[in-house]
Amino acid sequence: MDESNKIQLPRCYSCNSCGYRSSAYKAVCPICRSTDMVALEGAKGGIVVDFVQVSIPPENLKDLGEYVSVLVKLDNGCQIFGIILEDPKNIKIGTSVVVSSFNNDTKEVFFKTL
Amino acid sequence: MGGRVAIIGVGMANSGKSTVPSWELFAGAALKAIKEAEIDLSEIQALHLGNVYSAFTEAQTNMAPLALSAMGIDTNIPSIRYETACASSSVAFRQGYLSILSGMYDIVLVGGTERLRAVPGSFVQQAMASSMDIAERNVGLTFAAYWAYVAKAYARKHHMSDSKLQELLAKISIKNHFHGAFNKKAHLQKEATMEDVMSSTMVAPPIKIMDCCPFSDGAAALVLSREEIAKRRKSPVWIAGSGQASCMFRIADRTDLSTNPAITAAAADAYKQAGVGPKDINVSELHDCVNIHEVICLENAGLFKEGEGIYSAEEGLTYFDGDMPVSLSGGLKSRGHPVGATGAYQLCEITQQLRGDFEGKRAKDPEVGLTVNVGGTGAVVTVHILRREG
Repeated sequence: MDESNKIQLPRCYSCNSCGYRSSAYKAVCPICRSTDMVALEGAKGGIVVDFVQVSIPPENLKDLGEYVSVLVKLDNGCQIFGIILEDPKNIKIGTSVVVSSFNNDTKEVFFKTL
Repeated sequence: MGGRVAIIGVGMANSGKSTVPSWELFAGAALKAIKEAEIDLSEIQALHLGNVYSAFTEAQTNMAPLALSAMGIDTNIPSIRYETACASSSVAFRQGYLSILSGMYDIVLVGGTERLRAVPGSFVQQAMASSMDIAERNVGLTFAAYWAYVAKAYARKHHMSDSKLQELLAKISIKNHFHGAFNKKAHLQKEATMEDVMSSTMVAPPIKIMDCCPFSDGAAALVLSREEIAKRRKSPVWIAGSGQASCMFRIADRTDLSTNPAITAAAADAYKQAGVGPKDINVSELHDCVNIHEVICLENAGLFKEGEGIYSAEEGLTYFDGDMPVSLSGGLKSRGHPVGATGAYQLCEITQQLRGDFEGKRAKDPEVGLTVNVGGTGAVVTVHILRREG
């Protein structure tokens, strides 16, 4: 079994009517106004849409030192932000990544490149 | 209902570091505005106050009646505190305006106050992060990182190299510091050079410290009145348009980070109410919390076409003597960013520009002015249009 199968995965939401996807809860679809919004199965990975190197971490992440913030389009169609603790030179738009850890309480998501 | 509403008095504290609590700071600004309005304290019928972080930075909530009490008003008038992140005081202004427009009140006091510099900067950053989506801030999306994403998206869309982007953004900071150097109420009253900006500490590439505004203490107040009262004053400034809109809260769900449709929507409402268009604007104060956001405001409010706002400072167009003077106060970069008061500062400054008594760089005989005040990562936007003549 792949290592990423063992961890919890970030939740996403989908509109059963028009297919709209969001990483945030929506009572009503903002596109078609359908109330048929369902939680999607978590995705194990996706591709990097964009990334930013953060040189000065916020207080809650100061133990990390410098890190890379990534915007990832998950395989289930949702986009979420996460963290990669790798050399930014190895990360490009389109790089494939997998979830390496997810904390369901804090929603902290860490990815690693493939 | 109906009639027009005017600004008949303004007052601002110095932006920077305050030695007194935010409610005392506001009382000082409010009394200046009331004196200028030539009214008695007893004529104020309501207070609409913007404030964001006093619960974090001063361990104080219930700010609106406290501010009234600090002014010496302990009578039975309503007071309300508004919290919409950095747009709080322009929302307070808007609600005060609407309350007069509704016919309920004749004279109201509006404004904002904030004290951020009495606590460590890291504490303020944590407080400010609370204005973002909790899930996104927990995964390291800082404000600087957000603006870095915006800047990168803008550069990609307009086929601009990273070095050119940084150079053009620096020129916006330099422009705002130039204006702020002449504003005696500004937090950072000094000019900046290209070297100052380009050599400053990188926070989240391409965003450097000198691309960002400082956290400031400050308070600003305005007295608003209905038309019949305003007409008896020497230089009323009329509220011609007031737009407000919201943007998708979660940033990951936005499809194009180089634009903010809420600015466009709020501006469209304000222009329609005022019966003017972007070409009629003679002076503006925009929300340059980070210099790339001045570009987004310029373009989404229609003052420049998409892809052209980035060149505005380089070409001199947004300087006090340019075709589209922007942020002659120094903007958030130089006047400072007392978060819950910033929108009120902008409205006071445009009022003074239109009256011709702003103490700093002035636009040439402006008749119509505009403000764009944005809360959080673009989630709340107000656009106001003020005009000198009826």
